[in-house]
Amino acid sequence: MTLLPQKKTNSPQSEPLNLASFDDRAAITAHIRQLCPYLDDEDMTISATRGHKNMALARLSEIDPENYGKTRNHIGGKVTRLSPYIRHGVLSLADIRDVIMSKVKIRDGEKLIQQMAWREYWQRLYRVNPEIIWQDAEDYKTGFSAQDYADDLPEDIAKGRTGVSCIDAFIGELLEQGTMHNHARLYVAAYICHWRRIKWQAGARFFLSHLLDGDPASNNLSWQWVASTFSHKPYYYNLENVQTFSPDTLDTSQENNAVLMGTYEEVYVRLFPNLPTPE
Amino acid sequence: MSQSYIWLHEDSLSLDHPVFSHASEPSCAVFIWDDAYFERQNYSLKRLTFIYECLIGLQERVAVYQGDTETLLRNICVDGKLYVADTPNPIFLEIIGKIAQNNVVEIVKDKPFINAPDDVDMTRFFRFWNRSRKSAFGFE
Repeated sequence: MTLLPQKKTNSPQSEPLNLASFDDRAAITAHIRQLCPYLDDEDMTISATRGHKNMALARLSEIDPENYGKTRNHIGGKVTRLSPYIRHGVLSLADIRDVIMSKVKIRDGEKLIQQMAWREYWQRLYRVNPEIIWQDAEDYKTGFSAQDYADDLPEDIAKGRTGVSCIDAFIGELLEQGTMHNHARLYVAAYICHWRRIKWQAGARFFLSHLLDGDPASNNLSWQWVASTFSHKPYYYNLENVQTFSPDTLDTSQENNAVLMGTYEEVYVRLFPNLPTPE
Repeated sequence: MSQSYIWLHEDSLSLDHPVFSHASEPSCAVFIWDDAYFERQNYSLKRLTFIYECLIGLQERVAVYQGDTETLLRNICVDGKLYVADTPNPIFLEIIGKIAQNNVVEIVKDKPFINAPDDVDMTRFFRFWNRSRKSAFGFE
């Protein structure tokens, strides 16, 4: 008697998931809660930004590289909003570059392509040296050592209730939409590191939890750049700078953002009392 | 011809990734919904929803399984070659390394954006940019 060889199975041991319909977000979130029981009951918000190649292509068709170059530092400027799709590989940098080059002359596309190169740069550093994603790449250059910074993010920051109006607005967008303009990220990161003297790792973890485009390399190394552990000096700003780059709809009043007030020199002395006074 | 498998992970949610054209046919593409990994990343509902919606768009070609990534990948590609979209994620690279102990694994890079020289100085961005600018515009 000849035994027939057992039929080999090429299918996995469990059945594939039946995903909910794209048009039914309630069903999507219900399914996710079932799949991820670790989610807190209070974590209820979902973003207006939707995942899907079609959504990415719609945004790609709207990019305006020339105006991006002129307005990208302004909150409300003509940014591409492609970063969540880039983060998850829905669109490749090469494809976006090709679209840019088909739309504008080199000089008008340079700023956008240069920003895309930042992502490539962070990714390469991540690959070569993954340890620096969570470890200080260098010492702080703030006049303080790492031990002088708190380990954990206080609840008022995590909930966007610091009492600093513009900071709370930026965090509110992060919590509700999972998005934040790049300049606002710098403002919030500097506020957390330098005004509140909290380790950049706590802030980076907070951002990664919520940002749709949260990427360990781009996010954490940018935090290190603000903190000064991956740059020559700490990044800081004053309220006047926020007012310059913010739309009128953002509350940048002095009474509601008092801790950010002052000239650059005054803010510097306040934040970094151990450093020599700038000349 | 033996079956080949493609592992798409959260860094490569696209059917246009070269891993699809690179893999020998017939191939079976999978994404592992690894809730323990997501918990480790502390992903909020917003982030998970975005990923889930991306996966809906891949369903015609990619099967989504729930469970531990390494265990499921081992079960899935018992006797076949595994193709993986390239990633710098050390957690994924560790899994790939373990699978590679028993299976043939090939990592496939995404379409190149920048071709930087091997000796490029990575200590600061603009040193990198100045050496790679031409290729970023597609001239090299």
